[in-house]
Amino acid sequence: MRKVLGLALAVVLAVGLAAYVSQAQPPRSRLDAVRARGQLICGVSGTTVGFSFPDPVSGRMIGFDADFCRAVAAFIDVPSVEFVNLTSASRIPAVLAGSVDVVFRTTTVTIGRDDQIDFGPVTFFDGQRLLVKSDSRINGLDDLNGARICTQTGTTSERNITDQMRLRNFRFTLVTFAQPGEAFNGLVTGRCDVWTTDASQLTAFRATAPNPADFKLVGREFSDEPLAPFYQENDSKWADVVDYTVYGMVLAEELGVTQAIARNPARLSEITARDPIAKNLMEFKGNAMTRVLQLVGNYGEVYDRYFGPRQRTAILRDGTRNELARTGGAISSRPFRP
Amino acid sequence: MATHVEALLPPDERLTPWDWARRNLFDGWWNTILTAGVAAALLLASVGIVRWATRAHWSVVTDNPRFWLMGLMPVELARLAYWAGGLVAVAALLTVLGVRARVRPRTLVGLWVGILVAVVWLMWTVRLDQIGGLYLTVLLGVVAISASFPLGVLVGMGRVSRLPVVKGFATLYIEFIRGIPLITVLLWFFIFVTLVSGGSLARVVRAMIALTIFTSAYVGEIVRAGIQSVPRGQSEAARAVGLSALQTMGYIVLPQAVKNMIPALVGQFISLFKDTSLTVIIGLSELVGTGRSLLAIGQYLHDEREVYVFLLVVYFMFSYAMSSGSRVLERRLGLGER
Repeated sequence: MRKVLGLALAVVLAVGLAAYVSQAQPPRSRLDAVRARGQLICGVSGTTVGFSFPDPVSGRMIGFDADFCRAVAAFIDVPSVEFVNLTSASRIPAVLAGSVDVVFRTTTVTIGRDDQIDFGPVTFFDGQRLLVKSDSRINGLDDLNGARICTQTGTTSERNITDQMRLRNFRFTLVTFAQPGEAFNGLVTGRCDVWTTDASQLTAFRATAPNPADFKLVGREFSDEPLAPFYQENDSKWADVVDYTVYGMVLAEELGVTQAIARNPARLSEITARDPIAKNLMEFKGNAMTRVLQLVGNYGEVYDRYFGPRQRTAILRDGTRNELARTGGAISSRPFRP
Repeated sequence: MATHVEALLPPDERLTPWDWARRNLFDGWWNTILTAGVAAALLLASVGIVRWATRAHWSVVTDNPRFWLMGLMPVELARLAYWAGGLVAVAALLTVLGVRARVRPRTLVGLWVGILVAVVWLMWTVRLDQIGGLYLTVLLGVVAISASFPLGVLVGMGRVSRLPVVKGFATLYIEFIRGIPLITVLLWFFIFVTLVSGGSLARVVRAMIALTIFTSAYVGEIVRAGIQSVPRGQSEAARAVGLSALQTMGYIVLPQAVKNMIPALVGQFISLFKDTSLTVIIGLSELVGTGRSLLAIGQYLHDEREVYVFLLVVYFMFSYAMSSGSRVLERRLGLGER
């Protein structure tokens, strides 16, 4: 009797919950929700050097990804951004549940992930490489037979290196860590012969080491990691906002419209009078891109702010795919024509 | 015929330190070797630790006091937060002094209510999601502890209730919550509750609810054990003199039961305080999250050990304060002396 009663109660609760869930979801774009809230909730890592990390002095989240969050908010003229730190495991569930509006979190575009969420334009092309001590005899993947390999657990890096080793029929030992810093420490203390993950991370840790010359990056990039923002599926109004924020920032770099120019009406009108595309760009969606450029600057400026040659975490842009398409890279925009 | 029994005094065991050492540490060659070995190991370890501590890069701790305390709180609100934190610290100090001086408990409760009102009034303009660092850890701990105690008492009373429905619900709740890990409860509140609530709940509030619900189940079991430790004759006598069931519980059983519960309760609350660090996985930047995000700043990339040693010290200090407080309370209530 008691069992039956409990079961009946469970069924009633489940049905009630399901009914509530189904009626509490009016079909409207996330754009309206963000505007109504007056705040963009942006998922970032918050713990990735160069991409999103805190600035203790100003008490703000900064970084390459964080600036794109601010740009999206400026595009739709929403005054504030709330940053939510997501782990690599919780980032997709958070978007599916609607806990965050958009995620800029060093996420590689994959076909598997695209089944669940929609990706925006690629903002950064990364690739996996190897970091070894300078006196190591390892010069590439082919030297890794029998090696102990440090990597971060649950990442695409772990999967890639395993695939590469299997392909070559090599014996190898994986030493996995939760945090990149721990993995680097593993290399320093000799727990492994090589640390492998995205080149952006390897570069940053090598550059900030007490003596950078103790380490060297070796081998070619053996994986393709195009990093892109993502958001809920089937919401093209919201997708347009995110996508055209990125495209607009890239186009602004192509046209030479910098933050300084966007903030100077005289110089800005000089350019828009000469170039109809620039005029389209700056007047798009009620001066959306003007606000973006005034706040964070164009793509190249954001890149240089965190990975430029004068930063500690510099990542060379020349000759990589992170250059503009017109100079041989793969960072491209769309023509802003009616 | 009576035998005369000589009353022997216990041997006078007052030893000089030298005699004590000889008798306990150096009796026989085997013990001497052990003593020497352990002393050498201790010495080596402490020399190593001191050597590391003097060379470590403590700037990650000393340069960012505000960030460790309140995380990414906007700078203009930080002054208010300093005031609030100062008030709480003063109140804690006064409480310690007051307990020493045996001030009436009512005065202390009054002090805390006053301080609490002042703190809430000061922090009114601060959104919950803007709080981080140590403040967030303490906030989560205090709210979850003070909410889970009354809830736990209710659940525990329900568990020993003679009404089958009440008892069934209480048992179901306890068994269900104890059967799932805290991380699952937290993720559930982060991801699935959004589907129902539509993002209106701040993440901090979600964490508070999850921690409270989780801890209440454990407190409920402690309360049940406490209630059952009170001899049955007590409640029978109370009923015999005409007290109602509620009065029996409130005046006779609970006061005695709570006394017996204190050691177990404090243990549970210390564990709750440490468990607040698990909220990192739902993106809250409490003390551990703050440390992790500092590690993503270029100049601190390699200061992992410093950060985690500092965290260890802070958590230990708070947990030790809680257990010393409970010891004072136990002594005051004359626990273990009846």
